[in-house]
Amino acid sequence: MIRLEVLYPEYMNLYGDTGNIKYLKECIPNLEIIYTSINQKPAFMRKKIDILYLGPSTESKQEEIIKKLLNYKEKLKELIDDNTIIIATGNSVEFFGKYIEKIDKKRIKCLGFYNVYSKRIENYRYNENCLGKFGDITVVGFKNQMSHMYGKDKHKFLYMEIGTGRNIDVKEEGLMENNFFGTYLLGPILPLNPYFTEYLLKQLNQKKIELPYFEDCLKAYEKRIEEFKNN
Amino acid sequence: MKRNKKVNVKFFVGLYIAKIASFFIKFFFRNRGTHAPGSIAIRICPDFLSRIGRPSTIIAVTGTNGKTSTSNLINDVLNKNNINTINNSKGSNMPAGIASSLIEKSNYKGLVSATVAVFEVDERASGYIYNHIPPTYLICTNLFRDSIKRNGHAEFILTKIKSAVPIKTTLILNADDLISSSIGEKNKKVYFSLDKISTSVTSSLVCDIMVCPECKSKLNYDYIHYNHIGKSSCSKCDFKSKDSDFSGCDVDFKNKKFKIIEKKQKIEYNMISDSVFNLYNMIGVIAVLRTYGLTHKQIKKGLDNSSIKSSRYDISKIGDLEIITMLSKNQNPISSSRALDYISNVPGNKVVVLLLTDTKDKVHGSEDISWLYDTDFEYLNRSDIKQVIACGNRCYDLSLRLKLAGINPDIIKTKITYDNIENIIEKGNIDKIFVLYELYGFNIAFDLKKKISGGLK
Repeated sequence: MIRLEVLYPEYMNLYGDTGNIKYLKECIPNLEIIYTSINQKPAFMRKKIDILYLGPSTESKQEEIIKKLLNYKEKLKELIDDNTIIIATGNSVEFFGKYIEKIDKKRIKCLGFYNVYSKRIENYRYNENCLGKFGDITVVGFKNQMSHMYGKDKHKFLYMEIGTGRNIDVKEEGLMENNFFGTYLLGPILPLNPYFTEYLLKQLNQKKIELPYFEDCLKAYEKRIEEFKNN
Repeated sequence: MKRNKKVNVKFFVGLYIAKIASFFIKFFFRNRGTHAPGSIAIRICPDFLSRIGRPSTIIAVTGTNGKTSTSNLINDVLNKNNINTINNSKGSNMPAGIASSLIEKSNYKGLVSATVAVFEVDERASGYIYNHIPPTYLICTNLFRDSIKRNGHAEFILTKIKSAVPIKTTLILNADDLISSSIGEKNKKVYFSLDKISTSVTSSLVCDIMVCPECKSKLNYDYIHYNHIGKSSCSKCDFKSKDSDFSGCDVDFKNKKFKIIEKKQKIEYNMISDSVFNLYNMIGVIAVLRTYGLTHKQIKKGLDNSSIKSSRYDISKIGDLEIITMLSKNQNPISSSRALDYISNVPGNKVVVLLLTDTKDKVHGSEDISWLYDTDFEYLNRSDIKQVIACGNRCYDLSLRLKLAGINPDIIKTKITYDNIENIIEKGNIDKIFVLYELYGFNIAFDLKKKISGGLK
């Protein structure tokens, strides 16, 4: 049995994140899903989990969430070191840096696992179509955010070919270490990216890896790449 | 008649050039609605909206969904009661659209003769518009997740509206919406709501407020009409949905009747559409117009002679087969879920054609499809849905989403282009064909309807 924990779904579910969970459910027949709400202690604190999912949240909710996550800082680091799959999409990637600087310059302390910080920009929403490389795998997706990430850290997730990276001046996007994948890309990144999903499933040592509705998934993926490249 | 600021030379230059432009646009484009004159006027005179004359009563309509229907209905009812109005239904709901509507109706002094202005206002433009034209009444129909690209998230929009509402504006708010009902701490407020009805549920695919804003405990929903719209209370503290001044009740979908409770008295109304969405729009309209001062008799008279624009919902009958075209707001999961819910509740065997690919978004490269996973396609997972046809560039994304909703893959068809869709519709044993189209897909939908009708005659 594979165990997936979805963290604080009442807050971290802004942009079709249920798509990732729905797709994983179809990909992994013996998947147990645990939804942990903001007032509950995460399941990863008391039992083994195989996948931890964190989606994007509103800017005000980010502060509530990080207060909770700081209580589990050591365990979260341990999960990364132990190769547990952690997927952090949208602005939840920011929790793993040092801090988030708000509009009023005040700082929200974050987990500090990586040498990066994030900065919000007033009256600003950044939209972008993105295509990046994770090794040989092409990853596509969308961004919609009110902040960017700065600082130098070697643990990048993607190298962008279309669109920007952690901020508009760099091509390195997100954070990655072992099986921790943090990215500003948001929404249903797994159904959008069949080959990356396949890679993730391989990390779970599943005997048989067969992506559901692969034909639709692949056609949609190829059409998107074509559109991104032709724009 | 009011002006926020005195007129000046720039204002008149802007007004006259915009009027000339308006004349030529009407002449060459057959009276097509446009925001171009307003755009020109604002470019020449940046505070044009503050200087142009406006009626003494301004009714502004904003919110994620229902703005257009609500403002059209308010306008219709006022007109049917011989109250002269001005509105922006031909232009856009942005500053230039409002300026265009005022320019069109203004005289050479920049004054308009209407008694009431009914303006649909884009949520994001609230700050600019209310600064120049403070509304007397502002109705916010609802706030929830919308197109990501346009609106980000509901909290972002809420903050924009909260910071824009003038203190003297009377707010008409949806008591069943915990997000928008929090607008206007110090304003005079009137609330409307809808009681529990036969289609109410206790959970939904997406809910934009699940935690108490006061104590952060779990919110309990007694019932939900859709998304987070319903009656709720905190599991720990005293926080709950606001008490309502105008509540819809005794909803009889079969006979298309419902009642409004105002100060413990029940008044019967006829429903102009049998969707929950439009029922809310009607209750909101009644709340606004009662607050403005019309009697229930006057409102009823106006509503009985009004309809939802056929460009948004239209039925054609060819023999025993009905072809129904329905608008679904672009990339808006809640609007689309409501349309799918409505389709699922209509009796008979159905084919559903999805023209939901945003045909204008391709100018930005490709459409963000996150919204498909916040849209409840699960409503189509039923035995009387005999075929679902996904069209346009996003047809494979739609097909995948439909399959993940548990719909039988054998009944799902994809069509990347819009030609010859009518040929893949399996019409045997079908009672209704629903064509669900996005805002810019009007022509494609009506062309398809024509072709289906033509093939059957």
